[in-house]
Amino acid sequence: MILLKVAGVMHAIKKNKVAYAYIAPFYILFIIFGLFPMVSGFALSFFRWDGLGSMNFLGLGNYINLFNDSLFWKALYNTLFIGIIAHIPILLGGLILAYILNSDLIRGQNLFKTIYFMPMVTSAVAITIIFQNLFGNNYGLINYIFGLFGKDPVNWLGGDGSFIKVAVIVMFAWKWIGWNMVIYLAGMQGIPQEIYEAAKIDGASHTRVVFNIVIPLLKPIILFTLIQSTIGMFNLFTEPFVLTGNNWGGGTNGGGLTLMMYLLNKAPQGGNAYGYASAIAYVMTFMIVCVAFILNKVMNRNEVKGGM
Amino acid sequence: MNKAFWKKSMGIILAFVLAMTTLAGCGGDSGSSSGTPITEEEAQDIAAAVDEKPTEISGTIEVSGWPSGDDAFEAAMAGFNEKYPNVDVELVFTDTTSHHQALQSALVAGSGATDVAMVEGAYISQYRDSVALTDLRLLGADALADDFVDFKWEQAISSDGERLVAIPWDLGPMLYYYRTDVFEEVGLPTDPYEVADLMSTWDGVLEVAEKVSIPGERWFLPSAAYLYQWMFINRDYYDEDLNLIIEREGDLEALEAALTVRENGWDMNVDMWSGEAYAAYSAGTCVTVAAGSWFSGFLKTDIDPEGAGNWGATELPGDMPATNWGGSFLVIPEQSDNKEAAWAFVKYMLATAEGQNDMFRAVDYFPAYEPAWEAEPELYTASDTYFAGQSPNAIATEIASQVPIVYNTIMDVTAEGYLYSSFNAGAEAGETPEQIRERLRTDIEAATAELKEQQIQTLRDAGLWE
Repeated sequence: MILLKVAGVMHAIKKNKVAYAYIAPFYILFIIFGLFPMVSGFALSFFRWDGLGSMNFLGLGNYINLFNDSLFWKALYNTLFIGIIAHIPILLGGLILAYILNSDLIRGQNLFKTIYFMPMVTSAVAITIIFQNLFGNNYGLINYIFGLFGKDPVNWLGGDGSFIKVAVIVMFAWKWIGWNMVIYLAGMQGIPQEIYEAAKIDGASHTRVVFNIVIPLLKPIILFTLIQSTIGMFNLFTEPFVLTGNNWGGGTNGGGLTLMMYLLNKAPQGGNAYGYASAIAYVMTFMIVCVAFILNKVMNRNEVKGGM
Repeated sequence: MNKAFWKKSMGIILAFVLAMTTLAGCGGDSGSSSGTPITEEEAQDIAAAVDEKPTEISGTIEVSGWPSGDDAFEAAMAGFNEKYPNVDVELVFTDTTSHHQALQSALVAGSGATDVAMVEGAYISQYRDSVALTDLRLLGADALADDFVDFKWEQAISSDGERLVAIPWDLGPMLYYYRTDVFEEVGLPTDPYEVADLMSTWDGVLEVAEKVSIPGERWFLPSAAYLYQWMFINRDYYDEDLNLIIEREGDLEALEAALTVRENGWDMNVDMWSGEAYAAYSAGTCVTVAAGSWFSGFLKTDIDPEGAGNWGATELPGDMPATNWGGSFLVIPEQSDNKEAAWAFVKYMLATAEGQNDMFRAVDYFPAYEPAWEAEPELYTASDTYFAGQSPNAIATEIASQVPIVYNTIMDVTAEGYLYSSFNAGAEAGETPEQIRERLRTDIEAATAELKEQQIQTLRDAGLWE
């Protein structure tokens, strides 16, 4: 049975061999530089290895230790907290800004697009240093403004560690709003003008246009940006790390400890426990896939219900 | 008939071309990776060539690291090329984090490493057992052992004591820096020995803290946590059985003093490397800070270039023992195919007085090579106009010879961060010194559990762990 199937596949390949030859380079390179590392990385997560010495088989040991480690759960909590809260301004802000730029209310579209997109392509370390000054305890701009209103200064990056997340959320949102805005803008420009005009004739206000027309039509694009920023959320490392002064513990009481910081602390930057780091990486991958799956389901379900 | 023939041959040629271009991408490095360890014979030949036939050594080598290493090498390059005229050196420099990541990857992958690489003191424990680094003992490094400061030399030896993978470059003898202008303003002595005397007790320290601080305007330290952290700055967190050593002589008194400083608001409660702290150092609103002697270079070039005459340096307060912060190494990966030139470079730069002193003059990296201090004593005792005529290097030299040997592990870097954050968390929660110490112990053990297992495995591979 299998032989017949294989023969069938071989026959199909033979028939279209030119086509296969053309796409072969991609697949060969993918197998070497994409698939092989993925599979061997997964295999590595079942071992303990320091990159240079012997490989010690642990079975599910790494995963068990991982789920028993309270710091992993704290990192997960911090990452999800920062990510979910930051997504509110990222989504809403991105949509609203894109809508405003798309309408005729503002001139100089390209200038604004560039300005809002800059945080995404600027060095994260450079940005974080500036924000570190902004959120500074004694000389920070935010505390200075607080002082003008008679409020006590807040120790954003220290104290008991609970405000570090606020600074990280602000930075994360600030970075991703521009990216989202540019993509939504492109999407909105793809919506035919007639639909906007028809809505206007029907007397729809701007809010109704956004919520009842633009968003449903942008669903696939919103899904795309959501997955992108979810991956960005799981990769969050540089901002909290530099904000807390290159502290692997994520600052006081682990307030700024994110999953990626927890991973990099194990390997390759803070140590050389490559097997364990690999296990963390695959747990994170699994979470991203789950999130993407759920988002996909949610988006498509609504579409069927809405029905245009 | 013709058409079919051409089609077929075109198909074959096409497939051939595609295959070659694809394979070319992955086969390119086979020329430069010769990861087989050198034999004793080869090593002896190399050592002889470097010592006796310097003009015959030729080729181009790549040296990688992070600033200001490049400035240092450039300053000493003229001297190097005088002795080894046929060696060309290419400097491949980036930031510390990227450099170490690239080095780790290249060593694990077996190719892509440069001929000589810098390794920071904090990370040496990750590299010292590496078989991907040349054993410099084969090249005759043992003859240099007595010329280097003990505790630095020991850090570069593998766990089983058999191999030496790196040569130490510099030290960071801990100095306590203070603003002489502010001290004078509030009526405190400014001479380094008088200051050391006054601040040798915690009461003295608190007295100074109170005098110099103006609430909301001027502070004694960037963070009170440092009064405790300096006791661990030598990175001797673990003993050879990997037990965490939390207790230090006088630690509870130090914590008590630190808590007092924090309660009275005499510290800025920020990280000493933050933008705020840097601004405060130059403005004179953060009056004291402690760091390795390389901090003198930072002050002069980066933090407070206009501040000549306003700074002084002395020993650590609170009667703390002489200690050291940092200091890097140079390693030669086994992959290098010009180990002659690489060893010539390492030996000249780090194991000659001219090399080390040229670099010291340029970037203030205090040599771990003792003959360098004796070769140009004026360099190390000269009064420094920046430091109001004091001589911090003389004090650093005294301290350097007293620093004890430590046992480094891969958990050190992680443990370090907790010294700062656990103190802050404890201070915030109103804990007592004993409670803070226990909190620190729990935090470090929780965070380094997995790394400790890895370290045990590495030691087991070296045959040092049952």
